[in-house]
Amino acid sequence: MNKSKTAILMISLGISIIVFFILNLLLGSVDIPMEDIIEILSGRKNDNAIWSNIIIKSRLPQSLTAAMAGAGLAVSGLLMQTVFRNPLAGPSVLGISSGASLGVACVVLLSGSIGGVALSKLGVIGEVTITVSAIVGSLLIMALIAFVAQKVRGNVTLLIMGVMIGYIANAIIGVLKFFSAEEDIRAYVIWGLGSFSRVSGGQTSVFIILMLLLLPLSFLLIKTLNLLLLGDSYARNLGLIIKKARLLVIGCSGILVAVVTAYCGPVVFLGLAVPHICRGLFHTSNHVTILPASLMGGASLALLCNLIARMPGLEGALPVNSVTALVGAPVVMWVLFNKRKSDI
Amino acid sequence: MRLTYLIITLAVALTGCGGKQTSDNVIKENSKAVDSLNTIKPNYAQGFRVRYQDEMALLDINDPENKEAEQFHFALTGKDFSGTIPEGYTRIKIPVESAICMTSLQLSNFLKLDIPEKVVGITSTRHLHNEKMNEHLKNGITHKIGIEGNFDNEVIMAINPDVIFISPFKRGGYDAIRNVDIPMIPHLGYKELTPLGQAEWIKVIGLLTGNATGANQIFAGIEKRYNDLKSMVDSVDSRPTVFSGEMRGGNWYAVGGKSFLAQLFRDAGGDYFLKDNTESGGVTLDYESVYTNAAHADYWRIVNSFDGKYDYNVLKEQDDRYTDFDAWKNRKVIYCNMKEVPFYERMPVEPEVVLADFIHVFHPDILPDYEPSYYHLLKK
Repeated sequence: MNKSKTAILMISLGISIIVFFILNLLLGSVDIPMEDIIEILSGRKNDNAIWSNIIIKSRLPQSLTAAMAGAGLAVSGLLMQTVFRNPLAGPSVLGISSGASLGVACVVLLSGSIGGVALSKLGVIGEVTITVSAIVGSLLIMALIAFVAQKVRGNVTLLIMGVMIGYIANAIIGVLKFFSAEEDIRAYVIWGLGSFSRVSGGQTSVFIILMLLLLPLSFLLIKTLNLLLLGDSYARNLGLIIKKARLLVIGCSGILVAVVTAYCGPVVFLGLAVPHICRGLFHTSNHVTILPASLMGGASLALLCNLIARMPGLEGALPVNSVTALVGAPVVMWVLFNKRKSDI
Repeated sequence: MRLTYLIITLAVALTGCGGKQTSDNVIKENSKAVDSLNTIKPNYAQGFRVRYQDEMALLDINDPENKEAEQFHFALTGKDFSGTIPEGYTRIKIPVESAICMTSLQLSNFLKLDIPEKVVGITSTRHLHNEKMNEHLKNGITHKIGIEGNFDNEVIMAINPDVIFISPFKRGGYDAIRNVDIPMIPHLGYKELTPLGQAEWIKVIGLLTGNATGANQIFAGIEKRYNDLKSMVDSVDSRPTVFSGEMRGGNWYAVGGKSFLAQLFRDAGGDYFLKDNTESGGVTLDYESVYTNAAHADYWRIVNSFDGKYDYNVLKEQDDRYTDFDAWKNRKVIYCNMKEVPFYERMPVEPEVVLADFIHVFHPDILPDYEPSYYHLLKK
């Protein structure tokens, strides 16, 4: 693919982000006229305090969260697919998101069973407690994976290890669920559905700042990633220390997933799908193109999914996880069908 | 001669005694039978009907919201009834001596009738406040049978209760118990659309346990107090608006405009914020639709389980956007902490108390010196 075509595609991805972002602000279960939205966003005082609160405190943070989470998951998925050279790898493959789930399950489900210590008591604020427990859970699993990564040579072995750790985490969650009261299970299930609107206020800012710090870091890995694509022996000959590189990439990807999962719940599919869509669109595996493309594609698709999840007329939002797969899967299939043989 | 006399006297005395005893027993048995088959008739509840024929009480249970849906039929008979049971009916020998309750609502009926000893198995003990029940659990009179959907069949078989009360539209897991061959009676009180309808299910438990008269009396008391209170607010000029629920995981969980709670607010002289909503169960809304509808609502009702002191700051910390509601700004949050109040195990059979709680908040001039039981206005 020539450079100008790549540039056009990049620009259209950028435009799609802007369009979906604006649509996210425009559409919602409450009808707010366009002029008022512009007035509110431009900082002028709007007479209708309800509308300005909805835009500033609900739709704007939600759209930003969706964009950031989508970008983070897509980049994370791309890193995993490259390091494992496995098209089915995704952010959840190493059990990192299961680790986050385990952390949350421990807090939400166990809080009721240990002598009636309510979840709220642990930190006054339920949602913050959940975020913290998710991050702790996923980082613990990540540390475990990093340790294993030092010990095993083959990628496939590491992949299987990761999947097994995920199974163990899920098994513990299952046991916790079995012994928990109905309302706690419900709270956990709601968390597990994933949502871009869970965070609000100060927490949104924290999330966005974290992502703005983490996402550029992944760009430092582009060269390493391209070398990894060549295969271990070539990469080693070109001076890459495989174990270290692997650890860096997995670490970067893992932290991204941990943060996104902590704030939005385990949002599946985006991380797996977006790199495929981008590779299909750009007909390349070069990370100089694919990494920014995945980042933008992830943001764009997440915004689109968020838009669909909150379709006017639905009132309550659909679970993000259902929408991502419903929207994303056909797109992936379409891209794969149209893919030229040489790219496979 | 003296011997004959003695024998005769003895015989007379014996037969006399015996005869007296038998007739006493008969009367007792009869009154028991009469009481256990004492007529109950639903006036508010939509979910059950009772017909009486040939020394049987035929209990038909259906979904109060959807009469077309599956129905459940039970023939309630005395222990030594030998007639034929109509087709499609499951025979239940009454009075029932032991039962398993799957929900707190069912348990509340037993507690109100003051027969906790008949409850031999329960599911959740999380919010159980009742002292007697807790004692029974400790002494092994009552057993925990697992959670809904995951029952411990062995425990159930070991307890071998006369009946199991279930909530068939919830999480299920009943197929496994079906094999145990213990009659399962759906208790659909939670689907009733009116507080009195829900409370009236106590009559079903009364009928089954041989306490129909007591249940009728208890319900008559509830009904009278409820309707008296309701008529006190009939002519109020202002009806404050009230909304309900909290944000959970990005969605706002509230109940519909045709729900039990909406009815309670109406009866207490208030207006529920989803007045035009036609749902009778829970509804999931997003923040913006709740906020648009409820930003200027007068009151905000919250029920949850919170360890510690619940106040306006806790609300603010949970979600910053809560502070935009008038009810938060004006300190008009009506709160019930399930950790401190036996909400689920008592409230279903005390709708008149809940009603009084709300009236006290909405119209303080009508019940000025009232001491609330479940809901109180959060002060700070």
